[in-house]
Amino acid sequence: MLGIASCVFLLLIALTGFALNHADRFSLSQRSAALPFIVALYGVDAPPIDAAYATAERVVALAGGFVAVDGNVVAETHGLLGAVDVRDGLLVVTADELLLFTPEGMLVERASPALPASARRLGSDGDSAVVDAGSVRFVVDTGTMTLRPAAASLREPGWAKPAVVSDEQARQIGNAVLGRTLNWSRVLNDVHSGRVLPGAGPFIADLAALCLVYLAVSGLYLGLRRNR
Amino acid sequence: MRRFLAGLLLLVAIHAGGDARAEAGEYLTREAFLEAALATAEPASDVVWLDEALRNRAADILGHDPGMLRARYWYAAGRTAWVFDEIGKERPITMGVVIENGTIRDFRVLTFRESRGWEIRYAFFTRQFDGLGLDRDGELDATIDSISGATLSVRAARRVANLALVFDDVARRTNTEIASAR
Repeated sequence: MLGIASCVFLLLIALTGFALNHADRFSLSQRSAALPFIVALYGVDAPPIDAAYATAERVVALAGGFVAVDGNVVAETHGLLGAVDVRDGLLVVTADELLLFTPEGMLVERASPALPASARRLGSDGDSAVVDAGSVRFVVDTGTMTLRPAAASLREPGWAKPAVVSDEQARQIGNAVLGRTLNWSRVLNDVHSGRVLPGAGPFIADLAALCLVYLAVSGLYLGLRRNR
Repeated sequence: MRRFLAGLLLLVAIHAGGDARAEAGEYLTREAFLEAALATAEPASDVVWLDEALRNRAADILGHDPGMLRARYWYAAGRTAWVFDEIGKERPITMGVVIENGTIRDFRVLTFRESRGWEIRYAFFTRQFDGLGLDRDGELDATIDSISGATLSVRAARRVANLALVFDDVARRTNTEIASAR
């Protein structure tokens, strides 16, 4: 019985170790492991929607520190200023980045200009995207992905309005975000170390490892004794 | 019994150790990197558009789709500077590459977000890239020594250096101002 249990453990360690050794080749950290039984095992919930904006074609939402466009996670951030349609496509501004997408939703470029800490909302005057930073406003140049102070003659922009996402969209976004943190690299790492079982897991792994040591040493001892 | 207790204490001691994340963080802002690299606070910038061939080339180097349609670079005094995010194990590492005459002049790690592998920030590693260019196959023309425990970060750094050299080659063919901006 001890031998069978040790063999199962050895196979588990070997297979997960092999996969982890080639984690980058298999893109394990980019593959979501947010399957229902794994989510239940970890006891985590999909994060709620913290903010959402809807444009003519897209829904952009912030959940659990990630921004998702139409349910696809595109950036990690702690804040979302808004999303507006611009001449070149869709502009999303987070607390850290400008993200420009084609009208079809492909990422054109992401840039990290020094956004003022007081930046609080994003809008559009019909031609350009505008960032409101309280006492000063900035126009976003999507060609250079930079901000420049807005002229005094700037028309009053239409500010991106928070949107309410449907339950289905919220679930889809939440699962996509969960998949970023609950990926196969993490799950296999936790299985490999025994941490997948909270509390007792690592100790069980240690006991199983000690069993393997016992089997190896006793096997060696018996082998040597037979050869004498 | 005493042996059992000693073993149990050993197990507890092993699991009491914490993880070391103290070395991750932002080491250099993009603005500071560009100013140091190009000796100007406001360098000119331009983009390389990734057509299908270049996109495939980038995907070959990175091992995944580049995830963007254009790559921005800054230039001055005959040099170009590139800033890329590339995932080592799980989180993006922000790296900067300065290129002059088709060879790497400087390689810097700007921000490291992973829990392991931050040693690639140190000069003993980054100076290996100095003077490297592309060989006939479009790959780095010298090997980069790895660091124990930082294999994935080292691979990410190699990929970024290779990608920057390939993009620089395209930029120099399409932007005549780079050479004339000496």
